[in-house]
Amino acid sequence: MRLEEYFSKHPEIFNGLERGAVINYTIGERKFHIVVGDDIQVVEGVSREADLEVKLSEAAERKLVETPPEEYPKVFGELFLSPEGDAWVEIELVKPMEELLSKGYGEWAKRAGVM
Amino acid sequence: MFRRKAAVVVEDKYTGEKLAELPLETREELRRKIEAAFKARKRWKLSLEEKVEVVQSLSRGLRKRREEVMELMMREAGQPRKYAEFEYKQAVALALAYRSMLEIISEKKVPAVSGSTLLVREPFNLAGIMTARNGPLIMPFFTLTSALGAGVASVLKPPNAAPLTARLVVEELKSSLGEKAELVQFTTASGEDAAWEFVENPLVDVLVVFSSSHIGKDNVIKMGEYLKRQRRKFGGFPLITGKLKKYVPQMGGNDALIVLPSADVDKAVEAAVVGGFANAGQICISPRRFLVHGAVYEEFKEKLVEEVERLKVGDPRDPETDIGPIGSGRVLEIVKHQLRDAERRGAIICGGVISPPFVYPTLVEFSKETVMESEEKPLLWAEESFAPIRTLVRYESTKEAVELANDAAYGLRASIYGDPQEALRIARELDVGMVVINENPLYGDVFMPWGGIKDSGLYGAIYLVEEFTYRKAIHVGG
Repeated sequence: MRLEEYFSKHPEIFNGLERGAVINYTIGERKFHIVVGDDIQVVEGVSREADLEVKLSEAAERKLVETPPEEYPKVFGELFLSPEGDAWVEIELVKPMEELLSKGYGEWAKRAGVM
Repeated sequence: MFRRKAAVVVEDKYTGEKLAELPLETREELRRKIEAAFKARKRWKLSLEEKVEVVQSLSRGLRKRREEVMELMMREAGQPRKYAEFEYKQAVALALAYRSMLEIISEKKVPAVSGSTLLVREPFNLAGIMTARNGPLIMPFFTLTSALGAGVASVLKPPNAAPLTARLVVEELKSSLGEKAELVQFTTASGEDAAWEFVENPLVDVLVVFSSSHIGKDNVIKMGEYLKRQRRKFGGFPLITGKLKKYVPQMGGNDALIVLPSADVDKAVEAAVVGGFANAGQICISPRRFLVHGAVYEEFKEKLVEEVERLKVGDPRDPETDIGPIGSGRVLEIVKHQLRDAERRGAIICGGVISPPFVYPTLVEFSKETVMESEEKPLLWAEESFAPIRTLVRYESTKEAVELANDAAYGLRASIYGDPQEALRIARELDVGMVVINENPLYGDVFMPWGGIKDSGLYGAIYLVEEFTYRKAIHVGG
């Protein structure tokens, strides 16, 4: 399973993020983004409106799609905080922190154990 | 015959095992590093994008070496794994928010009667930085990345009792800086030599020091002595040629945790335990004096004693350990003295045992008369306790709570639990640089300035990144 499909199946992963939150994902050559609305839209390609850029390795993707959705933030956080061999996640904040906090990313980051 | 060079021996604070032996650098060696950093500062200027990339690369480097970093913190500083994790995450979070943090020093337009006035922040050239053993990762990480963000070259002097985590940070930072690596230097000179060199060397503009208040004040004496030596008489007028330095001391605390009658007692107890006993109480912003309103005093005390007695003391590498060793024999001596004084006053309600390298979590109860009216104040009330020993005092009115909280030589931080409106009113009455309401007393993020007044600091809460710069006003006529 790819992460795009996993997100479509488990939109609750992004609970707490405000409408209009946008995250770009890059996995190898693949690029897509998610948009938070009434549900989660997964769209091919990058968005110029992204709040965050997330890059992850294919090994990290394999690990994440096998994770129960309730544990997703924690496993995602661990892959960022403590990369294991080929499995890694990189995060870059694009928008100012104040805007990100107002969109609910602070609480999500706490759930992920990153902040 | 060659004289053997003196060495810095770094020990595991729990086992006593030797972890490393580093050469003890001389002032001459430190001076050469200062000169190298200064030359690099004159040669290189990093763009905002470069600074952000360097710090992201530093963060990646540390995350790849997470276990090694944690191991060093646990062994050389005696930090329990739980607390080392907390400090590690603070560093990673800081790197994530780094770009936003640098907005603090962005230029600003201010009102002008005519034309326009722009305020910009310009970097100093070089900073001498001295960190303490209780923040082996976050102190070097925060100060070096703040200096870099401001555009300042830096020379880091970590404590020789625990320099290895700092050395690793510098190693990763230098690797991230590539050809500009000389902008950051690391020294193992003695604390005394480093302080004198930073004070006397004209290439150093800023001195940032994390230390006890005594060492912080000792640097002021050094600055005075140095300037005194430069004093000449010229036609009856004093002529002093020595350079003045910007001095940013971040010193100790004796913080109060005020529990209001409206407080959620369970949450207040949790805050007292987490804030008061993390890292065996060896944190400057740890609440040390728990001031509790009479309406909830007995409940708070009973629950607190129960929680404190549950804390596990032992090997910092054991994930279950709450209280690790005290990393300094000198601190153990001071603690013995403080405990003897508390015993004499019959005030210990739990703990009270010292079994080197441990101090068992201890609560000491004083009446407000004892701390406010006695000629000789209890040592644990008057001094910073850098161990897991905390005092408990009952108060009956808001006025008393404020008087008790302000009855300290220090003015770093205070925490308040209870009705937020009342807490806000009290917060304005407290002589401290920071107040935290209904939150973990150790709370911090890059946007919350840090620091204190009185024996805790000179400027109240500051943004460290600003302290590496000076403000320049540019007025354009209209």
